[in-house]
Amino acid sequence: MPRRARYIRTILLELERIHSHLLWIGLAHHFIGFDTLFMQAWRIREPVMWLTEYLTGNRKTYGMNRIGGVARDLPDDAHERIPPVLEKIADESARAVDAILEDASIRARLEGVGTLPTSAAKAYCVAGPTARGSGVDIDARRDHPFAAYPELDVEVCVEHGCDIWSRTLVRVRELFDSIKLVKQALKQIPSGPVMADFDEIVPFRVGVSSVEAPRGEVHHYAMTGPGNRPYRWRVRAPSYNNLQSIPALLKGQSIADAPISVASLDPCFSCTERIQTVDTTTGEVRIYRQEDLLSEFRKRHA
Amino acid sequence: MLKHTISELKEALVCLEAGRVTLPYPFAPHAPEGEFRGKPVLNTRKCMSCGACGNACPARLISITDEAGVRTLRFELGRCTYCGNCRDACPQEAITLSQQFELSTASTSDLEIRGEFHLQVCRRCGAPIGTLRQVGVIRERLGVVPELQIADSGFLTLCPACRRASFLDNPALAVEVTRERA
Amino acid sequence: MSALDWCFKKSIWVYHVNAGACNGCDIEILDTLTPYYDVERFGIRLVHTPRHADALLVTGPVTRQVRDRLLRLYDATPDPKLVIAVGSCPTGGGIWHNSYATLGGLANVLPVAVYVPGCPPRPEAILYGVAQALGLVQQQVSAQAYAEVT
Repeated sequence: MPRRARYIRTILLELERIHSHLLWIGLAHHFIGFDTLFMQAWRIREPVMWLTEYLTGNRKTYGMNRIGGVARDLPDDAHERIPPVLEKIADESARAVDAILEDASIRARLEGVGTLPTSAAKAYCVAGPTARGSGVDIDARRDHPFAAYPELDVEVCVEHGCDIWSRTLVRVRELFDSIKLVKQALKQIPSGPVMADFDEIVPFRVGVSSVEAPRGEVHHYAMTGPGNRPYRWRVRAPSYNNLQSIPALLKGQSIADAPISVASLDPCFSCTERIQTVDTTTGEVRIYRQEDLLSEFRKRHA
Repeated sequence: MLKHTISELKEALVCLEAGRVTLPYPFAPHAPEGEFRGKPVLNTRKCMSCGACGNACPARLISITDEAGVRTLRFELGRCTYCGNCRDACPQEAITLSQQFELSTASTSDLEIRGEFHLQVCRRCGAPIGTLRQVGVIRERLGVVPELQIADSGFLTLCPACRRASFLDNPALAVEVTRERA
Repeated sequence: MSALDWCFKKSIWVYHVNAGACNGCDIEILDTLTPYYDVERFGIRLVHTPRHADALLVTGPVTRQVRDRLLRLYDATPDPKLVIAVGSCPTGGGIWHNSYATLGGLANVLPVAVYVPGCPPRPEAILYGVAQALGLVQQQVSAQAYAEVT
């Protein structure tokens, strides 16, 4: 993949992290009843959506990643358009965060609530800010570098409080770190092609990737198929394993703290599913429980 | 307690300084900028109904059916994801993604593009070769290679199978092309 | 126009249902509540139970697992009600139209009043779709048909 394509992918991923974390900050405050900050955080985040709409053609489904590079190059004036938006976001986010840091009501609702001790975080294999808020030092951008990250200075933000406030701090720090990363990427981005030269996409070849999404490590498994179409595709989103820690999170809490505890994982419920198989010939549907899956696996690999 | 009050004042300041930001939409338009990927539009003068877009579409919403000497090209834009693959694949640059995003409709059949193009059928066996326009485009592009003498040959009105058979029937149809090796 | 129709046009309460969507359309629906688009100035608000709702905003291609819950939600919504399909997935099944895991679009499950295509549709497009469902604006999109003449 050409270097310029790697940088474009990195810039878009970091822009996505910026608007995702601002979204979370807004939603978290909505769940504790502070709608003012919900509206303000989403107001602050809107210019990033307009920026990505200008850069890629859509506010959030960028449609840029292709095998071998990216589909389109950035517009010619990307270097003029991106920095002012980043400055505005950095400035307004800093002011909003500064305003809530000493807010006793918010601290009371978020500190000491939804505690996930480091050992439990490791046992449940949580990822992303959920793990980093509990002192687990993992980040796919540093551990399994991809795209342009080997050439950028990624700061892995780890907090040791293990509660929702720590996760909030992790996300706030990552927000400002992402702004820095986009600026650095824009300075370093080389010119050149955005798509590798290759003849054809060979069918039935497998690719597996591990990317640091805003919620944690997301894994994709794809198998190419005939006719330039994917044959198999499976996503393991970070919310899938993050949600497994909810029993530990909720233990001993009051019911009023349940929504914010669950929301502190930044769950994307759309990324979760139970395993359900459909027999395409007979149409029979079967739902597997954990015991069923384990016994099936053991049968086949005894 | 004082820190908390100051914090609340700062929060109020953030809101007051932002002021009212509501866009006047829908009372004034709010057009997207740049290369916005809106509803696909087909330029029916350029389109030759070759089907390259159909191969590229991830949602498989582009279908081609040949019947009674007419090829029907149909886009069911209800499930379009506005990815632009069709635009990128089209050799005639006949597809553009417009800036139109107000696509709400009571019936998904309003989201259809339909084109009917006449087919060129094989003069020997009657099977469809491609649309008349496709054949015209090929004639135009190959016409610049004088050795091939395409315009006068009967190639373009024969399907590939009949073309092969014709060489055996009539060797005069074969054209010898020699290339000088440098 | 009956008194009920007149009330219906003024301020509808909306319940949002995710029938297997990727969350893109859901976030854009929430975006309409935010200061730049402020759908609440039209009296439209998001409610937390279908029993208070006048309209259902459904996203997602309707997966097998969600179908029964979707039908129960529809039954729980009191009449008169509108079903608005937001996004390309409920409109025609999206990329999952022929998947074994989905039911190919909302029309196969519920009677839909308005479809708002987009992947995801801009918040302005969602506003436009809801306004169209209420009869406040006219539909803009129409089919394109062409027949070659030789």
